[in-house]
Amino acid sequence: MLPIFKCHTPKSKEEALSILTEEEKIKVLAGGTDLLVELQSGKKVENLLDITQVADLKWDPGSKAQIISPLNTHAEISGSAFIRENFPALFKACSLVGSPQIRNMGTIGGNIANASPAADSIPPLLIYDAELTLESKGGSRQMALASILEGPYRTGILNHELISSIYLKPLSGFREGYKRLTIRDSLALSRLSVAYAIRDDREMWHEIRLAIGSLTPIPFRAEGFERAIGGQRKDRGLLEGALTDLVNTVREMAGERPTHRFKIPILKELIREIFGVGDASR
Amino acid sequence: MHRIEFTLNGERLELDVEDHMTLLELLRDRLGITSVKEGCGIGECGACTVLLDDKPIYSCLTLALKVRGRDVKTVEYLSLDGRLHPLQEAFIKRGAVQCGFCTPGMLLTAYSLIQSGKKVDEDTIREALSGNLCRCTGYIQILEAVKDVAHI
Amino acid sequence: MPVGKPIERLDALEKVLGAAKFGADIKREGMLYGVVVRSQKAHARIHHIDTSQAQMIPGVVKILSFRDIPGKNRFGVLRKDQPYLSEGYVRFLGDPILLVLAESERAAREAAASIRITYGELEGIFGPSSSALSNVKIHEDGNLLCQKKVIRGDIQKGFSTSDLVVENTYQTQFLDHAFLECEAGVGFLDELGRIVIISSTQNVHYKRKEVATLLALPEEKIRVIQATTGGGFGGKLDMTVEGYVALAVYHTKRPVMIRYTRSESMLANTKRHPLTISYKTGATKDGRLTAIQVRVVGDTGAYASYGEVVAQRAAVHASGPYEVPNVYVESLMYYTNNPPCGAMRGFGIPQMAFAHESQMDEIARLLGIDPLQIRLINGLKRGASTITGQRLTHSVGYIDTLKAIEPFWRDRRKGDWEGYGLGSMYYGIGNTGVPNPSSCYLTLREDGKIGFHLGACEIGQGSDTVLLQILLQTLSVGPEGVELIRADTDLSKDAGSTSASRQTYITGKAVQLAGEALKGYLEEKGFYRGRSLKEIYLEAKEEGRILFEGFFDPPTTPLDPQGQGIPYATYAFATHMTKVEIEPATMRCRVKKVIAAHDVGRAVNPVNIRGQIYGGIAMGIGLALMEEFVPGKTLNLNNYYVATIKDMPEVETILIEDPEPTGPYGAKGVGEPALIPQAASIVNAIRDATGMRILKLPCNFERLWLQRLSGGT
Repeated sequence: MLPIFKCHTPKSKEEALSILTEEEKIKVLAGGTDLLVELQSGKKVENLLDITQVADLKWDPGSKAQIISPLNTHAEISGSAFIRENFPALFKACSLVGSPQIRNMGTIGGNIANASPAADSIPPLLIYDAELTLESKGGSRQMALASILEGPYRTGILNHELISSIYLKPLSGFREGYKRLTIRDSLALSRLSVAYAIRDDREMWHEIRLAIGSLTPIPFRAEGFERAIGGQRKDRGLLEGALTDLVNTVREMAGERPTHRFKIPILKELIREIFGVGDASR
Repeated sequence: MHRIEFTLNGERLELDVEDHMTLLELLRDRLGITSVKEGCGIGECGACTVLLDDKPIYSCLTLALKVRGRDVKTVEYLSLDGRLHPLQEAFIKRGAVQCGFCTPGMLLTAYSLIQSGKKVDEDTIREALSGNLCRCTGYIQILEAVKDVAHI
Repeated sequence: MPVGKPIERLDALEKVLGAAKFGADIKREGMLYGVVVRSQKAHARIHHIDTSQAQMIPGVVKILSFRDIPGKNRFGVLRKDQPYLSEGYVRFLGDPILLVLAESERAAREAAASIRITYGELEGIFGPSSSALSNVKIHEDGNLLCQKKVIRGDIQKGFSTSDLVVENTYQTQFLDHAFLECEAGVGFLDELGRIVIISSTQNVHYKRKEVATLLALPEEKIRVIQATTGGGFGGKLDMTVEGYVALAVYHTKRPVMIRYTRSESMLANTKRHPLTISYKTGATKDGRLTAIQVRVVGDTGAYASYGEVVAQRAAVHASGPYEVPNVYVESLMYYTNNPPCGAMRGFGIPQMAFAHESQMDEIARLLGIDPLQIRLINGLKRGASTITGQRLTHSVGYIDTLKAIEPFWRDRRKGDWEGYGLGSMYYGIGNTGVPNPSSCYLTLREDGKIGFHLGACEIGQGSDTVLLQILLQTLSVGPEGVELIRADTDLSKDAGSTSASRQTYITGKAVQLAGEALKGYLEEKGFYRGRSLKEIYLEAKEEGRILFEGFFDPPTTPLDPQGQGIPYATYAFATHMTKVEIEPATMRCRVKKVIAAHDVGRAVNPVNIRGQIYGGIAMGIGLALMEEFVPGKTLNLNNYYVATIKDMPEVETILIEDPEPTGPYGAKGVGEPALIPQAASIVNAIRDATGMRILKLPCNFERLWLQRLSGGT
């Protein structure tokens, strides 16, 4: 049973932004797959702003090149040929979110704004250097996704701002993917996730992108790791060294956690597998 | 309070809904459509599945006011013409129904897949039904029933 | 001939139409809603309850406490130790304290949430070992609920003649039934002023008894009717909403609905008992079992519920389906401040099978004997004796299940990180060494139909259909000639609970006997020579013979203090073979294929039986790999993982029919056997794939990785 609240249903961005400025205690509602769970579980709210009927916030993936609508659902993204071709890691991640029903409801903007450490779409968005346009009544600003993720379920998006678009930079000549660890294959939360893009040949790792979710308070780009092996000759020792540094970074970001006892070895195995030097020994 | 107009199982409806009312509550408590079930209230079981513009969604996590101008289908839609839909027949024949609590949601999700025009094989059926839990059947006979209708 | 045919389920049509009325689907004019206020502490005295705010909420009608209970504030299937509403003391997180009644569900929930309770917390006991040692008494009689033993032969001699002894300790988890339909029911006064309850349940007659005691009313003043029930698995055997609904109707004289949300269900409902099983097995080098010494220690939580049954069954089935000459089994059950544990599909035997099947594989491995072979060597056969000294003389299909699996077993092809495992079980049908009767009756009716008055609860498993098939077979009539009246205390006799896989076997026999009584009469009256039932009815009415009863109580004997006797009249047998695949990087285990061979005596409805087996496999995958209820932490299905369609393997079922002479047309039961061997076969397959012997369930990726890190086996 939901608490009693007022829900605003603007039809235009302008109207939505006005309401956001006028109402103080208000939360933005998109697909509702996170927010309504919180409300069903006892959280209170005074006002909701349902933005799903705002026509000028919505367009099909690919119809404005690499600018994605925050209202694109996971199903729209994983059903888009444009996304599959240009942003395969994002395509993969969105196709794994929750369940078909959740993917029909939940939006990419909602996934970002909710800022769950386990959000499936965030690690791939990080490897595509996603930039958000945040609009308010007073104007707009461009922010890198990485810079607005502040903590678990905490972002730098201001109360009166809306994500109005998401810009992605395509990578060319990379192989890209997304892997995650869950207890079952559907209706499951990621316990660890890795989005990656690798431009390599037989000898060299020319360029690397790696982002990790569900391990630290916020998903992050493993920049140290990318620098350590990017542009280097393929070498197992080098990879292992970079992994050791990566683990240290994780520990700095997250502190010691009991789940690290298994998550860190799994992370290492997943990365070894991705970089083609998997350790299949028992 | 919001005045909404929408289509429910082919019929135009216009009514007032409270802001905090879920689609599940609208259907069950206001309109008496108890084929839509509540199993968890947080989008983890699929018993409350309905079709919104022919796509399965969880009605427990959908505000009623969101269906304004849209098309809602519940399991009653499948036999509106007084005859069982082939999926319903196959569910009966294959023994895909045990306690029956997941059945309406499961049928709607399967119907949406069959109607989508997408190529259907065992994997796509498993994928499509992966948001609907069933605790009784172990899913195998459900899978058989959907395969029958998809002619695979 | 209806028996043996895949007759379509009677209830399937209304279920595919969405028309079946489950507990929460029933509406009555002027209905109140009830919400139970539950303890937020696991072990505490209640110091103060402040309902002032709740009383102010518009629509609140009454807030009831234990003082409003006219009769006895205690229930329990064997031991009446559980209060409906707390008398100032709470024993687990979720113990009920108050019942709020209001004009709307929202008002009731808001009022319930606004009630302030202050507690004086007491030291809590959260495991059987601390329960055994602690001075804190959860119940007056002490913390040990019961101790059951099975002793046979000479255990010392047994081990001294062994060439190999294998000893391990196995640990299982709390599980939630997670039936899709949460507990719900409505109640109202009928025109005679009696209290009627329609609820989601597995046993209407038991519930009527409990409600009568609660309200200090004669049973005739209470009527309990089963609503369409969305799964039970043992979780709707205990009192759920019925007592509260009855109490509310008693006080308000108005219709009342109580439906639990999933969170309430998880808080309130009984769990599967976690068992710690210390298992020592001795064998000779040719693979013959010489002795088992087993100590089972269980956690029954705050109340007894079915704890004694689980302890007893665990002891009786400790060996698995094998002949063992020397046995010492001790099974103890302790109270703790955990949620009460009750009946759940298999009553402790899925846990025991995990242990005895792991032991069998370890012995086979250490002796270099094929796992299937070691089961063939030791398996129960006709003429063999169980560990309770019961000589099996008929319907012993265990070896047949192994033989049926054998070609698949020989043909297994193992790739990297793949493994195959076997799991076997036997399971006594019905209650253990106690009377376990079932009754039903048939009536001749004016409309020319036969009234089929059945007290058994259909909970989704298909008993209505199977029992009707038995009746049709007996009477040689078509379904159109019979009207089923099901699970209504006014219109049926006590058929016992839908539990212990007993309805097909026990009620099925009662149905057959009732059918035979009627058939004799119909023969006499010329029905089979063409006289109509309408005509016969008129004659029968004059003779005062319109009711034909069937009664069956399986022949068993009580167990003596050494646990010896004939606890069950018949046993089901099964073997599952499972193939798993491990994802090496993550240690995620996926079940790829299962071959399930079951001796069901006689397959009354093969499609139904397959459905039971598939469902049992799904639940076994949950038990082995995913499901775990953590008190205070597991609040809803977002952190209680049951198998989805993607987790289901390819399954092949093989039905073996070694008829049970006392059963209806030879039938036994399959509901619980379907689940019991599955988890065991998975852990054995994981051992095959990884070399790791799993001692604790569930073995999710987290546990498997930690075990791999600590050096594997």
